[in-house]
Amino acid sequence: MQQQSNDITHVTPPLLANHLLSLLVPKRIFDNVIGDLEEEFHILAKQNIKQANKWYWQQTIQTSFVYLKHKASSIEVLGRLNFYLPLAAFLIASCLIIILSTLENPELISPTFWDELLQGKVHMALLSDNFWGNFWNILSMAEWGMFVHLQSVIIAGLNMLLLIYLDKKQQASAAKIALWGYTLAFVPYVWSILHIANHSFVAQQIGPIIATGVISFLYTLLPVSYIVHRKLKRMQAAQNDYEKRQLQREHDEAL
Amino acid sequence: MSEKDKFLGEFEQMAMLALIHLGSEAYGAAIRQLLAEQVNRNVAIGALYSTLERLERKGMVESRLGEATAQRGGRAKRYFKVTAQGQSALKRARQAMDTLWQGVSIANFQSQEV
Repeated sequence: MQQQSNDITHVTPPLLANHLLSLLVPKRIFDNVIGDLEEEFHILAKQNIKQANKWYWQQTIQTSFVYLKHKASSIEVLGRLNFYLPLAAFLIASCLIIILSTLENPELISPTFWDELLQGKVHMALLSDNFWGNFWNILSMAEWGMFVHLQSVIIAGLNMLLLIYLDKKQQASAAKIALWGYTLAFVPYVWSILHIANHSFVAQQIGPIIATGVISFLYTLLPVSYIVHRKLKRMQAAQNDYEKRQLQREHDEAL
Repeated sequence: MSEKDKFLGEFEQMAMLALIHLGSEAYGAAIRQLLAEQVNRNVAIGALYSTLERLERKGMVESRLGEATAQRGGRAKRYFKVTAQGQSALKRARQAMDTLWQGVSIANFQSQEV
């Protein structure tokens, strides 16, 4: 009996579980969380060690999910997404504008490019081997004046005004602002495809409609990214300030 | 504080009431056990800390570090306490629920459903 009681006092929680938690639980509360788990683990281990281990793993997995979700929506991750995704979208939109400025030789882009353009699906050209094979030739033929477009400036400006209004009125989170902003950026392009699909335009009319959609998208991306970045910076500053105050308070209490 | 931060969710209310019940003994493991035993809510310790940290950021709860014991592997407890602002929010939440429950009985509710 004495032997069994000694065995129980020497039982330790699964080390691997603690290691997993150390990767995800914030440093500020890590010791408190592990301490709480260990305390309950020892109570359960006195009754049944297997059950105690099972319980510890269940708690570890559930807790890991909670903090994994926090990490995925953390300011750092959102900040990186808000940089790389608009950058990729900006490059794609630039490629589409270059394609639209070199329509004299559609076979150079893709054998089916003309049919796709008539349906408004200019983005399909990016999946064509011809386009990437002839990329530098197409680039040398591009008309850079296509990047300046007054109607798109107006649409992008209206998008920005709407986003700023929503931000001020709703006091929304950075994630919500990003969702609204990037959705607004996409709206003119989606509208242009639907508009073409629902009307019978002649070939010369389709290019300008699609161009308006794509150039508005391009103009809207960077300002949205900037607004989201500014919002994230403010959130980061508030979080840093809160953590600093907490640490200072705990330090003062310890003294 | 934004409009959303003034309201308390169901679990936030449960956690704060558990802190009041436990008084000076309100730390992670004790709160978790109380919720499991009293309201059959077996939560993950991570979910509990996440809620308490959110409440702390809203100013409804405050925490302090306590003593470390051998049973906890020498790790300190973190004690939580409901602030005056938290107590007002709890009262508001209760008043709102009481108002909505007035004149409602489960029997009425079932007959409305049918």
